[in-house]
Amino acid sequence: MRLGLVIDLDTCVGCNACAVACKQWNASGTSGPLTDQSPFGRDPTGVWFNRIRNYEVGHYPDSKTVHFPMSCMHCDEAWCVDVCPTGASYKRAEDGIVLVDPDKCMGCNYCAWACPYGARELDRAEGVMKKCTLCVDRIYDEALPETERQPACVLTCPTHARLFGDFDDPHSAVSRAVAERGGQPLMPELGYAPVNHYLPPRAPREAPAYERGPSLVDRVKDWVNQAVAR
Amino acid sequence: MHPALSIIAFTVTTGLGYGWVALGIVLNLTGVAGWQDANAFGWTAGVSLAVITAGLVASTLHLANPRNAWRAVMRVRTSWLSREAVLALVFYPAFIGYAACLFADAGRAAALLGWLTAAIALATVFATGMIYACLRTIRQWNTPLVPANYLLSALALGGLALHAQRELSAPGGGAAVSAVVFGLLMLAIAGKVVYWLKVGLPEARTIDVATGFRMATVRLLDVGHTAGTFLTDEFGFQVSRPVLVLLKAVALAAGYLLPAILVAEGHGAGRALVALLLGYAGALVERWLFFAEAQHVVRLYHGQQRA
Repeated sequence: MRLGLVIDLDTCVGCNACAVACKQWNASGTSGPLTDQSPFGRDPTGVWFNRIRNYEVGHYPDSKTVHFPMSCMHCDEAWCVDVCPTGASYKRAEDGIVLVDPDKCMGCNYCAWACPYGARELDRAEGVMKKCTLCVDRIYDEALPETERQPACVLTCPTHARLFGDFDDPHSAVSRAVAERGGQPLMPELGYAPVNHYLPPRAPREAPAYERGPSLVDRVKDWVNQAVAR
Repeated sequence: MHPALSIIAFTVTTGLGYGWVALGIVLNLTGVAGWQDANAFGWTAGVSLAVITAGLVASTLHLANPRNAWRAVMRVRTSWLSREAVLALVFYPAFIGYAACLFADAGRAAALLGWLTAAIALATVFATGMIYACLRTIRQWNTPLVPANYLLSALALGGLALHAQRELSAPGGGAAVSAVVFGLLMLAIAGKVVYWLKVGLPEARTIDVATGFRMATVRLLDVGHTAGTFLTDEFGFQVSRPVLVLLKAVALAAGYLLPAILVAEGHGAGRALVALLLGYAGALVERWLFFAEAQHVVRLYHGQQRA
């Protein structure tokens, strides 16, 4: 099993609901608390597993605003795990989820240096590295109804721009979405083999042109011309 | 990259110590310049061990959770940081064994342990360099020039320490050592210049490659946070080009050229100590530049066009 996310850059509206739902769930989950520094002050900062950035792609008027959520890609070649000197970072063999054991982490930041996607953030209050767990404390919880055994970000997305599933299963929703829409991983040339994929924005539909008949002035001119010729 | 003073002090200081020990042992075993006497060797061993230990202690200062620092030896198979930690620990018994054999006049054993100690010392410096060189996320570091420069820096700085130690123990008469140190300083300068030329090459990754919109221009509209984050603090460090050029000139002139002139032109303990201090300060500046100039690819997602 290779669990991961598909993010649809076409339908994401950049509402940040996924980031807030993530923070809400995980602050009280297995990696909680996700501490903040001066949360009500002038410069609030803290740990987030999911961050949304907004880009303009292309030049106006042929441009598009793209909202870009980024969290851990749960890479197949997770270099963050390989560089970890303490063995605190690990990738689960059974489902490919990359996790940090806070009891072993010494907070050296080396894994954050190795991650190209900015997925790892140090919890400054606890002194350990934290990252997206793919809601590992949710997706296997048999006390929850089966439809809710999904990461918090996926459940909350109002535009269904996030899909969760098994990339090893060619019939899963994520595999089909990637195949149909040409899903791409980010910076595959670095060799990390990220599991998460991004669906590119669809080509914009041609706007229907409004057919206008001849104007009143033109019709009068035509009538005059015909009259003069006669 | 944020230039953390503890990491800068750690890499430069341990480099000095390991370079000093390795160079001293190799020059002794090859017969170029022996330890002058038991007394000179005794205090050299003590001071160099103290320097290395101080550097290693400095390395723990940047840890957010130093209680777990002992676990850093657990992943030797994959992590260069782990390998460095293990080599740093193995160095102690090897060096102490070498010193003991030397004092006990056990020639063969001393030679064997001497080569082993020098190899471990240099391997530790190499591992330190590889910690940075193995990161594909930072173009400026992901080159074999990084461990090469770490080794050259350590040997040059260690050479200055060895030279100062010999001048302090018995002034004059160390022409061979002076020549070796001068050569190492010149090699270190060459390494630095080649590295800086390589870093200056226009081979950066771009924001459109990072976001996957390879056929279009991409511009950040909003980064999504109003204050700094861990990522901007760690990776957002920026230094202006004139400052970079100035500091590079200072590092080369004060850290390598001046000490080389001082070592080559004449003798004296004071002179040698000034050369050592200049070399140490220059190496600190050079190591600060190493971090300040490095640009992590995550900066692309934060709106930088090239990194």
